[in-house]
Amino acid sequence: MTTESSGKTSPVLRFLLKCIDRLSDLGAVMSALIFFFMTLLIIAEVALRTFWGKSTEISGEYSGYALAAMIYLGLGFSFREGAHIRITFVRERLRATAFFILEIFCHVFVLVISSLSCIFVWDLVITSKARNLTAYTPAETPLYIPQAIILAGMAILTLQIISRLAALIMARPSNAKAADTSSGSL
Amino acid sequence: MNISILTVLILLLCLLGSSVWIAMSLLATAGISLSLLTEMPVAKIWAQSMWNSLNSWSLAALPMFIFLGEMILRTRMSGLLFDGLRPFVQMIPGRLLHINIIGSAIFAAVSGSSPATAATIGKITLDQLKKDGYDKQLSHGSLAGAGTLGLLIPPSIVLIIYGVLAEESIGQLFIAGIVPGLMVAGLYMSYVIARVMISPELAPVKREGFDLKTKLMAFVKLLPVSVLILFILGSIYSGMATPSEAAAIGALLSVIAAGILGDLKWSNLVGAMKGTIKTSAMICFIIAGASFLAVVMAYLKIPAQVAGFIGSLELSPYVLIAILTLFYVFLGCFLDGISMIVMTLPITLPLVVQAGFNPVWFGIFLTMVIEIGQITPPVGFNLFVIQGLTGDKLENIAMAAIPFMFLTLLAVALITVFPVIVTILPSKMIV
Repeated sequence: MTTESSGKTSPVLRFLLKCIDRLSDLGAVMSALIFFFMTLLIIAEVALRTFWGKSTEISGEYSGYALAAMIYLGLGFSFREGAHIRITFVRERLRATAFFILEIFCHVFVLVISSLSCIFVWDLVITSKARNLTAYTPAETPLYIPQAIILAGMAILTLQIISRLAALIMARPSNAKAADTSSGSL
Repeated sequence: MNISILTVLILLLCLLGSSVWIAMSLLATAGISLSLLTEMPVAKIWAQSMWNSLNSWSLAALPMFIFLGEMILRTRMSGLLFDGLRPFVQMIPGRLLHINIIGSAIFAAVSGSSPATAATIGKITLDQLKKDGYDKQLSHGSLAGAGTLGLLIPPSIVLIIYGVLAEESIGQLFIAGIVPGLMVAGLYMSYVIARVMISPELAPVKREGFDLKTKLMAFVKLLPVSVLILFILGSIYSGMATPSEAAAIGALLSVIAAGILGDLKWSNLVGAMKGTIKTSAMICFIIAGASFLAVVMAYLKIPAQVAGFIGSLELSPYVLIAILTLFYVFLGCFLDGISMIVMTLPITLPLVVQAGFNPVWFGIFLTMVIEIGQITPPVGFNLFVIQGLTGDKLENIAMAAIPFMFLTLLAVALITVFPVIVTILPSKMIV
């Protein structure tokens, strides 16, 4: 579900929320493309080895980067779609107002955690770049490149959390429970 | 109980209980515990864990196997499976009920997920079973139970995660799951046969007749799925391909199979891809959080302390396994399998290895106790799936699944007493 909200919200805010949704979609498309190329690379490795006795030399290393990239870039999209799981035992039993407060708490909390992750991963990227860290592989890939993709993914997730939080606040307690879409629940 | 264990436990319980997303709860618990209890550079360890945990070639198998399952869901392969098995189950008491079990076992061999197995097989069998007058209890229960075979029979998402976390060969784990998986399927089938022999009214009396041509056609219908299974398991067993490579080729084959069956549409590909991204992102983000927590627990020496405490009790290995079984079955009432593994493994794995158990064996043991968690209320994914398919009450479905839960427990006891059930195939592997 997208973060469309009631007609009362300002057009600027609505535009921003829409932009965030598009950004998450873009992340998902990148994730799908990376998945495609990762699969292709591994198939190429098997084909080269089986038929020509050769190796791409990079299949193991790059499929690792590809996995990390596809997962982090897909986080915003999967968060919006309610794919991330949570234990809803308490949550389901709450009345509208308490439910609303708990939801606000959860969103603010994960916003803090997600923002912190962005800052920490940013540090990691900067350090890797400054120290010219490379992988211990024949390709000697500079590590800051795949790490920067993680940062991009975490940034999209953080924006998506802000967007969901905004939508939640606009929905007000009375509608928050009805509009709840956390399908990925336990 | 010391202060580190208490801090981690309280944080985890509070966050999970207040319905903070599981992955984020794990990240937060690890980060807060580390900054409260140590002088370590939290930011650095946090970011490194997020990067190292998912920069993994073995874990790359996970989204590809998920894609394979998603693609197959969107083809007519499951329908073909039903038609293909139908003539062959007529001789067995309980007839079509066995399609729930055999179908799940076969489907499990191309899909790594238990709810997906229950949903796919349930969609094609439940209506037919109801129409033909099979007992509702037995058809719902056998489906709930057999759906869990998705975890045990390779490829298995749970075993990939276990392999990555425990640093064990995923190929060995996959191969180790085959015999126990078939054994559980056998136990379920024997139970259905016994029930129907005792009370014949549970299944319709009339046997369907099939001519030779239909039977031959049935083999043809089983062909696509058989080719996939042979390829995936054969390539891993023979050492021709690693699980990640088998997953990549499996993903390609699933697209080709969809093309041959006329189900290759853009909408199917997009749907499969969306499903793959959502499920993989959900699972892998939990793994990232759990890896950070595992690192933190190691810094806090929690696994060593727990192992020391359990060691001081001088439990016999069987008692230890019995306690762990109860512990996991209890956890399984509230948590999903993957979260259970990633949260507890840093502590339980050293314990069982210390008690003399083989890590590959423990992977299969864990998968089986997690299967039980899939069919125990209030949180049991397979129960939810069947509830979604039938609209029946959760309590009824949970009751129907109870005998199958005990059969899985029996299987756990059997592999504990006779570990050779698990280790026989991996020990004969070429690699």
